[in-house]
Amino acid sequence: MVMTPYVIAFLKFYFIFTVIVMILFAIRHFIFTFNRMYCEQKLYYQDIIDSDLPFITVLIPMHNEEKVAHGVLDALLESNYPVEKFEVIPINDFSEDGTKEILEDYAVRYGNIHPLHRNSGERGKPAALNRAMEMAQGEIIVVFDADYLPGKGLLENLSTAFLDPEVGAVMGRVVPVNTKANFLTRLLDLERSGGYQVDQQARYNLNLIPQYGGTVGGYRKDLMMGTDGFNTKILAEDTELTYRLFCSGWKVLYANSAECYEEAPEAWHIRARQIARWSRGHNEVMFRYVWKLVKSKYLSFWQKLDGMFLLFIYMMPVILFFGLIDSILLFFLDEMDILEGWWVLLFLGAYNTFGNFAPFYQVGTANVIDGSRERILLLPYLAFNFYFYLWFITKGFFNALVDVLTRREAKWQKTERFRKEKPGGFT
Amino acid sequence: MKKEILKKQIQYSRTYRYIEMDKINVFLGVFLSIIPLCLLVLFYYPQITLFISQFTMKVLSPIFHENVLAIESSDFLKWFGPVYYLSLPGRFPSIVFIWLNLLITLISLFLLSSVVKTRPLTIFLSISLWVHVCSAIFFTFIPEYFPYDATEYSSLYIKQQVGIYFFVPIIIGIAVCMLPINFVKSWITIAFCAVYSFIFGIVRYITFMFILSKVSLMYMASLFFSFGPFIDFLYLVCIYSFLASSTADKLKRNKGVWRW
Repeated sequence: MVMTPYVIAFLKFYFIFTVIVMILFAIRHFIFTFNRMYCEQKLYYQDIIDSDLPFITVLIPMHNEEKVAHGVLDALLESNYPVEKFEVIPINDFSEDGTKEILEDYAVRYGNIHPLHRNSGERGKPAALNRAMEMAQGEIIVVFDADYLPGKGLLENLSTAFLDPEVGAVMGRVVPVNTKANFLTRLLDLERSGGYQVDQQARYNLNLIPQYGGTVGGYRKDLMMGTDGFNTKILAEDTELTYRLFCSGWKVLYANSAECYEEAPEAWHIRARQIARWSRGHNEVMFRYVWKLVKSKYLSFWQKLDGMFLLFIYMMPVILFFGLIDSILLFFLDEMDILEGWWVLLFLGAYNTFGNFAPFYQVGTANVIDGSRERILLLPYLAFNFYFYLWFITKGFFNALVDVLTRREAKWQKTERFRKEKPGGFT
Repeated sequence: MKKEILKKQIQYSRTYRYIEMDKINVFLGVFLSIIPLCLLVLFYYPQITLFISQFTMKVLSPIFHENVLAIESSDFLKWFGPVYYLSLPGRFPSIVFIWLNLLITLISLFLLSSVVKTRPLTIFLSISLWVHVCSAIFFTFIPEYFPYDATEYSSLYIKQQVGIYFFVPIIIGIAVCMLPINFVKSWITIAFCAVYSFIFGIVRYITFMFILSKVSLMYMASLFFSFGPFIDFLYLVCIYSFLASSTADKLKRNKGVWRW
């Protein structure tokens, strides 16, 4: 078939480019896994005992959260943090179910719960957090999503980080609570382990870029208020905060000991929406922060490099998706002799994207450290997630691209909850 | 009164634990099994591919007429010799066969997208089916431009397989070196993966050659993209997961190996 040499050359170039990107990510994850398994770990500040704890404000954005609102509030009320040292602001963001009534009931019964009801203005988590920060009394803001179940010592554990004046934000570890619900939640548990036990901890160990994840984490209020709060046009306010802090010289800590339970999505279509939304938000941040990261005078070369990898993490499936199309074209154009073929691409692609952008041995190692014998046996099933992420993350990327090019406003989509509430508790 | 939740056993803290690497063990276990296997593939792939081709010819010969099958060779890596592969006739699809395939594929795609569109397995199948649709369209409109016959594909497959044989010990070796196991176990695992991939590669070669020669060349793209290295990855991870699981179990009962 007649095809210009330039087109063929471009297709081959793209193929080689994809392979190189995959190799770079493979090296990065090998270093992380090796560091986490075999090197001394950098401890968090959990052993520091200070009687002068800061006053903290806990923000919980909620949109139609009647199934889970009791859970998070009850868990916080059980906290061992001195009651006079913290307040809780559950943010009822345009809820249409019974969330408002639940919050009012708690407000009547407990003096440190001050609900914020929002029925006008911009919608979404960043806007809700901005509004709540205006009424927050605490100098430290701790954020939980509504489906989270913080343990007794978690607030103290997280707030200790801020005794270090260089710390701008802290992030804890997320552990799914509903792992036995179905196959999907078990797989997500497996992935989360790889993401936190190895990835985040290794980045913390190596003094790279641990990420603030928007929940089970905290930050200094004045840093946000001084810069007009969260950008309400961005879906991934957590990633944006991470880069904003690092680029202006602040530290973000990862507290592996600060574990908190969450409710993982129990249906594939909800997971698909969630991952597409994360991709959209993360890629928006990528478009905005690539240059700022390169120019930052506060970051070392390795931090910039890792920051770049992290910024581009949701681009990887997109690059692979085009790599797949590229390979199909090369196949039909009789050009599959390049590097003897598709196997290099697929091998390295699958190698990197098993689990949540982690190679299979990273997820496996994390679970060995966690001591989860049975969970590891599910590892081969993550292979098919490679295609799942390829599809939905690419979708999210194109949405982000359109958002940036057309200045379209992204709408926040709530993740559906599954918890079956029982009177006085939850299952 | 609140119900107290009591744990039967308090596990060792998992948060910051790590293992002190036994460098000699890792060296013996990984490098001394990866390097010999890779060198074996590199220096003996002409013999290996000749054996595969001869074996495949023996298996397929009862199905074909005499003198149709032959073994050919082509250049591969300059310093290490040629690869050998089976030469055989391919079967070009008739237009009715193409349209029937296209129809069935499109119906399958429709069913997949309307019933369970967000499952990983569905997406994997959908991508595979789309590749088959591309193939069917290609054979409908420009069949004369289809660039491969069964023999060319056979050559491509064998070259790809040599690549897989080379990389399997490396990838499983990297994974295994992250596990605190003795070197004998590492050797066994890496060797087992290499043997498995060797046998699997031959079985797949025979199957692919049979389909392309006796059913249709139209399936070439689907076979190449859907049942190629991805499947190799799957069994590799299966074997790794069994090993990692048993390691996690042993470490649970062996506090001595952990450092905090």
